[in-house]
Amino acid sequence: MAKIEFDNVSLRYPIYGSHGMSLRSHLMRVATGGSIEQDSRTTVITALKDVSFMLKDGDAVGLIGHNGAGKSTMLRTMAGIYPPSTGKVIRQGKTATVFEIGAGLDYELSGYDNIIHLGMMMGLSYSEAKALTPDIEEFTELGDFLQLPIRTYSSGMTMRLMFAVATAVTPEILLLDEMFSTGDAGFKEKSQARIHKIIDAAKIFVFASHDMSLIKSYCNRVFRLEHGHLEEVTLETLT
Amino acid sequence: MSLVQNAIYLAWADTKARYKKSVLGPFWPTLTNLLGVVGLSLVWGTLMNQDMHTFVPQLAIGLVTWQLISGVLMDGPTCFARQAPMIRNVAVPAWFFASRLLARHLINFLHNAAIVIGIMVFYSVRVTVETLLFLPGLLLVTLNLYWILHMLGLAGARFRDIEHLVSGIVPMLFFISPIIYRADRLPSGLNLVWLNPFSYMIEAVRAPILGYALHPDTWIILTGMLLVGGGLTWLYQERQGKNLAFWV
Repeated sequence: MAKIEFDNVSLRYPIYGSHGMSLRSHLMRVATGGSIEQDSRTTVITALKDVSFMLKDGDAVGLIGHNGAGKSTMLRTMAGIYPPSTGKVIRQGKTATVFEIGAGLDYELSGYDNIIHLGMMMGLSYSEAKALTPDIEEFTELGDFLQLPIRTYSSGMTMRLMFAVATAVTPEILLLDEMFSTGDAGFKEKSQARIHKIIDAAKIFVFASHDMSLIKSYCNRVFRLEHGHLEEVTLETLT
Repeated sequence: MSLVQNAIYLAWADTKARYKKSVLGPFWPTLTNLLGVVGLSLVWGTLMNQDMHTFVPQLAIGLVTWQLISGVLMDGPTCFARQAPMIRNVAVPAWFFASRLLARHLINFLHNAAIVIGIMVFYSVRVTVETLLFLPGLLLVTLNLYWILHMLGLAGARFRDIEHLVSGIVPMLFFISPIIYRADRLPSGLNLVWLNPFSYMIEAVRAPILGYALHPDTWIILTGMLLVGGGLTWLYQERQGKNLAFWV
């Protein structure tokens, strides 16, 4: 049984300017007893404010909001990459993520090698990762391109590969960021079928996007993020 | 546990990928080191009027062990920073990246061991059962290097000066480490060498192989370093490590 539960989660994180990354300024601060707190160059961003919700099996959530509303931060908090500043995040289930294009790929290595490497970084053994290859070959339709280094791929092809690897072992929780819509029509159809399979297997799916028609076709719940506040809206109100 | 295996496999793949399309492959740095040993032996051995039969093996082991230590020190601060895309996108524990990098340096070290074996055969260094005492030494060195790597990685991700600081200090450490010379044959004015923790690491590996007496405190100091340093690293990781994704 998969679930994600957010209980009054707030997330603040510092953006270090060149000054904040410096050891000298940090030591100076310690040396002065911390009383002179000149933190003007370290901006603290509040990305999520008191967010509470509960996702259970079968939930397919569309995450909407304008640029910088906190969608990507929200996904990373769900994945357990960002720790909440206050509140509690409870996550159960094997999680797969597709956030940034090219993350974790080695551009000098072939597609085949990258399949193995990505799989192994997600915790599969070598033979398990190897066993996924035929399925990924079939799904990505990249054919002989899989023998070439990733640097020769277009972003759509890279996307195909990443999505195929992330979903090759049916995850219990799948988190997707919007850039996933770079694929062509054929890929969209295939990925849609796979996402529906995951949702049908009573798993959790969260998808951040600006494309309302995509959200309507995948999702049964919609969260709107605005300045870190989360509000659940009904599918019908989407335009 | 399977993640450890994966880290080692990936380290091996990293090594292979780096030397793809080159004929000698991972033996390139080995060749570089061999040239280094030969060059330094000729110059320093002659300058210091050394007996080549003892000097060359001693230099070779010292240099190869130093390569391992300095490699870890130099790569340490960027250990996590360089894996930023991965850390920001997949929830992989931090130690995975640190072990992967350490494994890569150990693989390099094993390649370099070929030089040591070759030189030991050439100068017919006597091998006894006691030679095997270098194994626990190497184990202690490896464990110590792990926490150093993890600690430098965290600190280097948070404070970007660490990288430059370390690359400034390492060349100086070369001179106060017993690489060209043996630490037990120093004039008393150079006791400074024993303040350098890496001296114990090099001697713990080299002394058993060449069969000379080890500084009596070596084991205590290396074990103490492991406990204190390992503990501090664990504490840092527990308290601040969760913020790693914000730092990189």
